[in-house]
Amino acid sequence: MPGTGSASPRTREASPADHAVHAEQAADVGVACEGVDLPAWLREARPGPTAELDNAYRCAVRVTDARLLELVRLRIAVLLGNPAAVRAPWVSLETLPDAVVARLPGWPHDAVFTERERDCLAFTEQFVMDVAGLSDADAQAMHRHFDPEAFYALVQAIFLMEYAQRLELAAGLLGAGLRSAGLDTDAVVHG
Amino acid sequence: MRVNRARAIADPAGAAHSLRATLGEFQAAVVRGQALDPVITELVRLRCARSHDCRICKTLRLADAVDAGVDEALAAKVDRYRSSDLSDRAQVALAITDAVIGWPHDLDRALVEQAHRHFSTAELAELCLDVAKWSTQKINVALGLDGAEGLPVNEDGVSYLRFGEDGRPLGDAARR
Repeated sequence: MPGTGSASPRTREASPADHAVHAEQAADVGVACEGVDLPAWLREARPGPTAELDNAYRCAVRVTDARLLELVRLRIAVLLGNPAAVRAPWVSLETLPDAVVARLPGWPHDAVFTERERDCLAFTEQFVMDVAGLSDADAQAMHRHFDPEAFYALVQAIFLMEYAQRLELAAGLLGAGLRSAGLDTDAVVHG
Repeated sequence: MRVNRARAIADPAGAAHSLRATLGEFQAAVVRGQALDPVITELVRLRCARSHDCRICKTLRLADAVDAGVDEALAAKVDRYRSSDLSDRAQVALAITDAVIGWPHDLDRALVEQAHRHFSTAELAELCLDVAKWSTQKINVALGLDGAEGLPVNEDGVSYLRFGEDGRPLGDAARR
């Protein structure tokens, strides 16, 4: 079992600056995203880049559709075998009911997901598993639903949702090695 | 052939550019790290480039790594590193890379022990973040923006990449 720590996205109470972009999202956000749930050893070793990764992650959450991004994030968790992934607390149950999340495994054929969501999930799966296998047709499917600005933002957000989890998992496993070796984290060289 | 799928983005102050800016800050912060040696850094970078089939990244070579001894013969070993004569340390770095970009659970007990035997904590932190930084190439690959046609290349068909002290790439790629 990966040593991923709490595994839930970091949160804090929302400030007015967090209610941005999507009016419907702003109405029910009560908890804001703080960033990526990275192990302490990684943050202590490289505080600069990990803080910047948090910034990028928060930006992705701010500028993309909350329900869509959460579906993407949870699907990526399954693809990466992230057993500890929990739904993000900044996405309300009104925006994304638990009953819909429970049906995510059947997304290709389940009408509870819109065509936009299904096309986005298809794009996400290909992006995560084999990005070079993405076709022009895959991009065209996305262009039907997203203008160029939104498409570009979404692709970057998908990357961040993917790599946040990859780092959480991999660094968690490597951190378990640190603990079993009895290494003193105070001795970590700060980057 | 992969074509440009991004289409023109009109608003330089919009969401896409905001995200791109924050990702740029992340990447620059990663590159400013000095813990991992340039040879391992380059082998990891090439593994990412070839795994993601990023055309521009496959064409580039980190100038610092070339100065430190990475030639095309060494670079070619990345593809079949497990059966190569690359050092154990290099092979462990590439195995960690494969786990991060593929199936993280491949970081089993044996590989984790090897990781700590060959690399310090600082080096491992940098390696993990380097993989994430290089993997931002996936965005360009997905959007068809990874074309290397405009890159100046030398007689070996490669171009050189240097970073400034701020972690941003410098221009004039072909020259070392």
